[in-house]
Amino acid sequence: MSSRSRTWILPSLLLLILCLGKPVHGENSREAVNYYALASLEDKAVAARLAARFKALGEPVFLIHNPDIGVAQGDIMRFRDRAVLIDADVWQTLRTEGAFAGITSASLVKVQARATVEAWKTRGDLVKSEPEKKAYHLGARLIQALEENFESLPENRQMVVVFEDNHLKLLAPASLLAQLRMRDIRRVPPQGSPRIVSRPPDPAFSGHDFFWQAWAVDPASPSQALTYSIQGELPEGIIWDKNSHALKGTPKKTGTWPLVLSVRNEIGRRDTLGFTLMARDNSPPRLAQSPEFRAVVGRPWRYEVDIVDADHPGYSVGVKPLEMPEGMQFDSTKRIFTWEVPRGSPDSLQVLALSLIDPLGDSTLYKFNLSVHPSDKWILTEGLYLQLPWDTLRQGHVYHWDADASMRNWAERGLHLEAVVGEDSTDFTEGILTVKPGSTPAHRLTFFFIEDDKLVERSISLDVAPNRPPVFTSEVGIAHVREKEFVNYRPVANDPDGDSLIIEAWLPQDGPFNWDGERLYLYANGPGLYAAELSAHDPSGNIGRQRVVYRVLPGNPRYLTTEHHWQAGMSLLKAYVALGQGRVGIFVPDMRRQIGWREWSEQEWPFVYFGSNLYPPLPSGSSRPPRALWVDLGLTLRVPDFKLVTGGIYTRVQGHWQFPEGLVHRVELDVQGFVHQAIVLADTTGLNMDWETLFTGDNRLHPHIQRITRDATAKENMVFFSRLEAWRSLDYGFWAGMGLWREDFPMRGTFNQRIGAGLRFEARWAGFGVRNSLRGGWGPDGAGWGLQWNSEIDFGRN
Amino acid sequence: MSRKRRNRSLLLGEAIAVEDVLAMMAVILVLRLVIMVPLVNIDRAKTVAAQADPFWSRQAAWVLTNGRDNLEALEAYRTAFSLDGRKLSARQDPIERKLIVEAVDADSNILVVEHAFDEGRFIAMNVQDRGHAMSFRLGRLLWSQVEEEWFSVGDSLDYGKRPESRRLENEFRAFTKETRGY
Repeated sequence: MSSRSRTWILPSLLLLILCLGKPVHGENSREAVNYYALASLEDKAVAARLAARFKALGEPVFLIHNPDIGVAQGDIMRFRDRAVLIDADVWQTLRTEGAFAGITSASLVKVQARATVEAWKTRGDLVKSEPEKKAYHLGARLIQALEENFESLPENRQMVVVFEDNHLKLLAPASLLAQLRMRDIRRVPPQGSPRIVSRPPDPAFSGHDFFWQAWAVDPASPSQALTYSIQGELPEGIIWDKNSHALKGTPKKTGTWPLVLSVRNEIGRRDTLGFTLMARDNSPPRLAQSPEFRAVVGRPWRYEVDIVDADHPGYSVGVKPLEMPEGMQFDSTKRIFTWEVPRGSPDSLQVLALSLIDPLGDSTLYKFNLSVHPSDKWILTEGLYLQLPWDTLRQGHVYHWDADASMRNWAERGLHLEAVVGEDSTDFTEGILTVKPGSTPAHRLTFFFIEDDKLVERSISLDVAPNRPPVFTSEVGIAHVREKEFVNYRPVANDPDGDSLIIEAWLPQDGPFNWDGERLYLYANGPGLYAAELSAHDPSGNIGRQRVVYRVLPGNPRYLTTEHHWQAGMSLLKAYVALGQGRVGIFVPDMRRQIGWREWSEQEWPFVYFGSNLYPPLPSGSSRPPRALWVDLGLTLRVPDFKLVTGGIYTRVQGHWQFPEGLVHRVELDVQGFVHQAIVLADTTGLNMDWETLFTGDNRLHPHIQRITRDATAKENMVFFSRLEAWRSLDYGFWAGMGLWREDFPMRGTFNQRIGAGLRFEARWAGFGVRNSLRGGWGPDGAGWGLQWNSEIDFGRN
Repeated sequence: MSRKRRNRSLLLGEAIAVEDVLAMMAVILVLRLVIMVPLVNIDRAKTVAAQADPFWSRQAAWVLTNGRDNLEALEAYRTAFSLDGRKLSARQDPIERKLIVEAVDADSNILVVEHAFDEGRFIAMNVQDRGHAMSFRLGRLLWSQVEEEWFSVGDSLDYGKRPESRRLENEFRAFTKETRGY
């Protein structure tokens, strides 16, 4: 197949045809839209001969208007440079060239049923092919979505949905859309955080391709805005593709790998899914039972292939006959070998060889020697072979077998089944055998036949495997949350025996948990350790348990603080709001140059600053004492003239470390400084001056620049205050301390360094606190005595 | 403008104008762009002449003459084989436990369906009117209790290579020869 024809074929793989209402006719349909199938030729030689006959280039691709009847008259055969309408002569030409032996169509699944949910579900339950089953259930859900959300079902109309090249294409008559009442579909309630809807992946197989795509939805955010990440070590050969948010690759070894999938939306809210990725070796398929090795001349011989495969459903395993005796037929649909043993081959050995191929390509070869006996040497009961549809029973499961066909077969051979007796609950009524093994390791069944008025019994023992308890395959992804943070966990439990499961939750009374039957929700008002227990129950009474433990950390602190600092004749005022690890505030270094005390053109504004605590928050219950290291940076701007911008910078590093034991209970460091203003930008275009006249000449900016220069050279225009102190807690909220502090005035080229002592009083109640510190000290080199006073008031601090 | 020049322009009026030539070229160009791929059936490439089989013409004529517009017994097959609008005929083989459906539409396209109850399988033979292009659809039929109709699963297509397809055609021809004389 050429690459060009492949590009034609691939989109059809993704073509989903929805046939709603009446059946759709392919021939010149009156419907507004229709569906087509594409096919190409396997045999390159035939393709070349056709191209030569039709004087065309490339290999042909067939556009088939009715997939049910294949290539027919009225279809189109398209080459690279021209297309041919298939009429009777062209069809005959295709047949003559042997084209029909090698036409291959894309694997297209076409399902159809009446447009009711029940009809589609019923068909989905009846069919065994996995793609058809999925297609029917998908159709049922689409109809359900239309009924429940759009209050209507389109009738006598067609709609085609195509997923191609990352696009969704929808082709529908306008009249169909007019029928629909549009509503929002809200499967997931909008709660501000995304929700993972994927189930954990099925096991991967070492040496075979693996693909699992994670999917989450958030009604408030488009799917493309969600960010997926995976935490945990991946098996060798498997990679995490961030773009397609999928695990893919080929695992190179077996094992289990615990992983946590996280999904975040645009505002940072997340959902997590913990699971264990399992990689194991693929076990090849095998036959549940061998065929009857003896065949009787003139009697029908039959072998129904039952397949056992631990890793794949039996119907997905292919059966390929390799060698069969002459006259033997194989029904590939029902997987039955039938043979009318010919009369010319008594007392001979015939070979039946077949291979079983699972979906991953692993195969098992079987070869049986069948001995052919003449009919006069055959004893009826000797040839009786009890063939039941089960190989191994599962304890507690119920099995039914309609023995009607086998009874008729036996009756043809003179054997009449009268009764079936067995252990535990075995029932045989009106040709239906019902078995429910209650104990292990075997379940024995005895069949009673009447043969020539004599009672003949044959027994068979079936293995019974113990019923295994359910297992939780999901894990709590993030077990640490902050108080008042809303998290949820969807447990996933699997039953190794495929039983249906009920998941229940045991929750502590008055606890922060809520269980809605599917998800466990946690909303904790306070820090602490919270636990719940989940249990999965199967119908046999087996229980799997999982304990869910969340450690709730204290929430991010939020408080408002005002701070007044008096030193060296300057009065510095700050007010900030702390939000978790960050804070934002305003800073006023000199009230005289601030709000309302100057003309508008000379007006200066407070600094706005932002800060961050470099230490991460401490977990609840941590024995580590409080500590903080804040780094602040601020800015102020003013525009005295539209051609002049001036401003200042403020910076601060403030830290404290507490020690519950020892002589010193708290160490504090505070280095802060500011520059009031400097010319940031001057637009001199159109002023007709040079740099010299800008500062000295007669121009419009000159008065402003003069004032800026005057202010900038004032002693308090650039100041740095530094202090390093050690404090000890006394009784009744008092602290005593000593330390070093320094004042720098770069504009005057001077500084003062002092050593001194201080007294502090702290009081706090009902989220309101005050802290006043008075320090006094003396320094050499002209610094002399100095005082400084610091006052803090905060609201809402824990 | 002089009288002499006006006369000259009258003579030129018999010829095609430049604007018309450009317009025609534009139309041809557009047509060339729109219809990039010409259908070659017109020039008859090296094809083999269709081999008409009079048997199918007779079969179509028989069903169109003797068939009915609706058969209650075929209601359950209507959707699975698109039987609407076709003349229908059906018969049962009680020994083989099979149902044989014959249908012909207005274009004389023939459909023959064999449904084997015990095995649950079906074979649908489609024969088109002229040239009698033939294809077979094979699969299984399941019963939908809710809709009270059959539906097909595991369909596969064949153009007459599989033995089951050939058997159906041969048996059908033998049956019509024996019972209908063609």
